[in-house]
Amino acid sequence: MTLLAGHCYQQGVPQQMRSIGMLRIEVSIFSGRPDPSWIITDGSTVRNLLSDVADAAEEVVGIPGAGYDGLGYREVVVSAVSDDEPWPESVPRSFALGTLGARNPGRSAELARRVVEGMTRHADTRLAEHEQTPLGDELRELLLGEMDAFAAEPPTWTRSPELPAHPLRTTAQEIAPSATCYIEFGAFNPGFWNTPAVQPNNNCYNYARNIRTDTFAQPGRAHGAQTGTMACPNVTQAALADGFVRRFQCLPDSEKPRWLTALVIWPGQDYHWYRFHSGNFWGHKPGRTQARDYDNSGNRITNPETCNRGGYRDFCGYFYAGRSVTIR
Amino acid sequence: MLVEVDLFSGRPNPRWRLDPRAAEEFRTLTAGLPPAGPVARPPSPGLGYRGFTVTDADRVIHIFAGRVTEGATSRTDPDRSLEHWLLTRLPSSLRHLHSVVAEAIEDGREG
Repeated sequence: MTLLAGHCYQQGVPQQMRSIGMLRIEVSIFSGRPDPSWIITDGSTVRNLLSDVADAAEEVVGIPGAGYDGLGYREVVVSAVSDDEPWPESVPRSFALGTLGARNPGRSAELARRVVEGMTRHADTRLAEHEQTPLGDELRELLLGEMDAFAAEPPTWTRSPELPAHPLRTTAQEIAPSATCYIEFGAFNPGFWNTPAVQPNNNCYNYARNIRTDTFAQPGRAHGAQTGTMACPNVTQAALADGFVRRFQCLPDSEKPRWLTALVIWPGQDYHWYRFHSGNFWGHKPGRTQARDYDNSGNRITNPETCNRGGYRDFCGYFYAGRSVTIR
Repeated sequence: MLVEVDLFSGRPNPRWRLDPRAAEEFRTLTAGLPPAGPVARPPSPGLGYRGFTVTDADRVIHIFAGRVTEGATSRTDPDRSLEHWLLTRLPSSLRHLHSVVAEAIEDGREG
């Protein structure tokens, strides 16, 4: 048994257990006593749940606290236990299931029920809340009964749902004369990047791939293919080694999210990347500066080929970056 | 004293250290600039040259577009003399960047 207390519940957890990822679950239902809470430490359970949520994120995920806020059952909140573990890009690190704040409350309730059904299997990791709200079959049955009643007859709730900004992405068609590819349009979410912990340590390549590595990632470095020659063919080859593919080399659904990106070069000096967003504009993050959606003239970027790019005058082309692209 | 020229988007920015004598000269030059009061830092142009950042122990000083800012305080340098002075301290391994940065400073252009 691992004894955990308050927000210090990572203390005492074996390192190998942390590395496989953990989730904190909290069922928002009580008013006086602590809400039922537990930690899922089983890696396969974590991965399966996050995978299922990611596949339907636009439908099932809500902002914690943004749904029904009356007495009784309200929602199931799922949160990352740490910020350094693998996490689907389409899912916020804290989200609500079984909430009226989801676009599809029915599907959201199904996933929430599945989470609560497994509650008693995760009672070994002790939390301070368990003193007053011990996990057990009786509590589990109470929760499931309340959730079923909530889903069958949702309480009157007049506030407009607040939907999370980050997980919203849409799949769209990209059509060339010889191919029709599917890609994802992600929401523009500069707040994720423009924090003191993230902004200085992540660059345009991180932004294009949409993954924070905190390594100021370089094309090809993860695969021994980095180049010191700042020219289109060289940086392109380095990015292809990381798993980028040229536009209209269609990626399968298993590569979701498949981002559309663009590479430009300041000849002999540097490279730069852009990523396409829902709303038909492009975002980018110049070096250690803030992520943004405007060019050097202050105009929102609708075409990376013609926007003001300063000295990055060579346009190298468009690329898809799927899930399997690994950068470092 | 560490100097970084904020220049690149993908590659790490060029950085170098000033020797103690140059560092003292930098402090003297900075202290001699007229205060400008708490004004906003000039907007980042995005791509290309975005100024110098000098780290002196726990002091972090940004120099760009005729403005020298340290925390909430700011000094004016309309001739951009401090940027030119820092540019003359480029180590030999970074000399190839001299004309690029000098041109950006002179023209007010972005890289």
